[in-house]
Amino acid sequence: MRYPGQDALDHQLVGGDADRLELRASRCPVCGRQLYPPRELCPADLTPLAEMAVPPRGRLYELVRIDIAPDPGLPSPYWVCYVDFPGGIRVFGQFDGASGEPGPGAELAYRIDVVRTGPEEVVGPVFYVPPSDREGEQ
Amino acid sequence: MQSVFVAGAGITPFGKFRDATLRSLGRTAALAALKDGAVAPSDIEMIACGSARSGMAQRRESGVAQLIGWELGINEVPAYNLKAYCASGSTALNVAYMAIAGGFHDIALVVGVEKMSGRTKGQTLTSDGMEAEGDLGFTPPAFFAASAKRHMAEYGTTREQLALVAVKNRAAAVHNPVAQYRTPITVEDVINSRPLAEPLHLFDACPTGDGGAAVVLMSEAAMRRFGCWERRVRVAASVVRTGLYEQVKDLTTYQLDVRTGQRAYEAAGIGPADVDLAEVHDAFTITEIIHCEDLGFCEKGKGGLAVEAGEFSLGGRLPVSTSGGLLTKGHPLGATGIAQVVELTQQLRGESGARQVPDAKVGLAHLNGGFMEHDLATSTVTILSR
Repeated sequence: MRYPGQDALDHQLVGGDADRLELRASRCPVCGRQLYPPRELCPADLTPLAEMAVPPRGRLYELVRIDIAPDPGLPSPYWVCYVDFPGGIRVFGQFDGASGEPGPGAELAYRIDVVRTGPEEVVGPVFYVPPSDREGEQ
Repeated sequence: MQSVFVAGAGITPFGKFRDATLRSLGRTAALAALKDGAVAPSDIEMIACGSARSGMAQRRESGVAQLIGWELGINEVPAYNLKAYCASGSTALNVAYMAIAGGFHDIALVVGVEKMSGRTKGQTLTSDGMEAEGDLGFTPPAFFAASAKRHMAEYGTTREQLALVAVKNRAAAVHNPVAQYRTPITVEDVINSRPLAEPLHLFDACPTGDGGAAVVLMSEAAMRRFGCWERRVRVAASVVRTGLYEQVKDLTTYQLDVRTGQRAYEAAGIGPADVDLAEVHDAFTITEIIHCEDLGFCEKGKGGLAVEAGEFSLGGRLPVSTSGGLLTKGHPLGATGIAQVVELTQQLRGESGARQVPDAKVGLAHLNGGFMEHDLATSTVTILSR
């Protein structure tokens, strides 16, 4: 089965194969406003929006550990986070708990990875503490 | 614009009832409201009904208002079905309010109803429009846990203060015969309950359940005609707004609620200091604290301290969630907005027994509905006065 959100997640991904997938956002060519998830028209001036890739690194707004998964496709516990990017967009995604326990403001990178297991895997953004930062903490 | 009044109010017990249906819950609540207002089904000129999950949970996406009208023999009237997430009931109230205020009708029946128990296992209640985030693991507790962590970090709100919201609301629910949970709990009970999303545990969250609530709204002329004038409760404001949809924002406040509250205070010609009691969207302990701050009941960041000081308890400066709130009275989604109005109506009439707020003159009800682009999708504030 496909989870109901995969189509929406597909809409947020750009690139050829899984190794090179990026998150997609929208940018207004007139007012410069950036929006995530991507959409068609700028809500400020209704200009058709241009596609842009979400920058490779953002800063953690908040990280939450979820102790009870809502269904068996997710592990228990798992982590989710809100990450803010230059240009003014915020992205929600899973967090790789094995990469560390960053505090608000920490720089995070992301990869497109499996976010749910099951009969048909779902892929989406997974944030992590970049290895160089992890070394710096030690 | 003519004034609008609550003429009758009725509610079913909230809980998980295997044999209850949308029909039985809606009918029971509506009959109680009609009886309370001493009006007959044939007097009703329109029906508005809020039910958020009737399609997903009960295979009745459309026509719940028609169903309840059919049950009660209310025929050949306009019927409106409203779906606005958790704010479905309060949005239905707004439609009926506008119809009477605008002079189109004099008597309206407003019903909120939801049957959530017994739905197919594995059907999550994640908001419509959040499918992609849901696949990534988004849950409402995750969103509000992020709010709680930020509030604790920025304002020093403590884990115990969060727990005290649940303890306070349970203490009120002890005196509410329709509440889902009525056994007193302690701070330790809350902190030791099953973790959901840190720092929130099971008793920091409202339960799902079944229930119905209804009110009869009338114009002044109808109130006088039906002999309801002496026990009148006026709808001083009914405001519904959609989200601001801000991207990068502070999750220790919900600016949509701030603005909706301000609009409602302006419409009613009052301020937060005039409010004697309130029902807010306490789906989680942290949300009651943030809503009280956003609605101006206390200074920003001081909500936890106000709860700890008993300011929002029965007998306190401004009792909040006197019904037990969503946390303990229960949260059958579409019913909640009307249930809040039933509670305020009974309080303003002085009919609330052991949980009565003395000499209550102004009550405020607040709800959010849904999520959209990391923000709340809708907000409603209703103010009643006598």
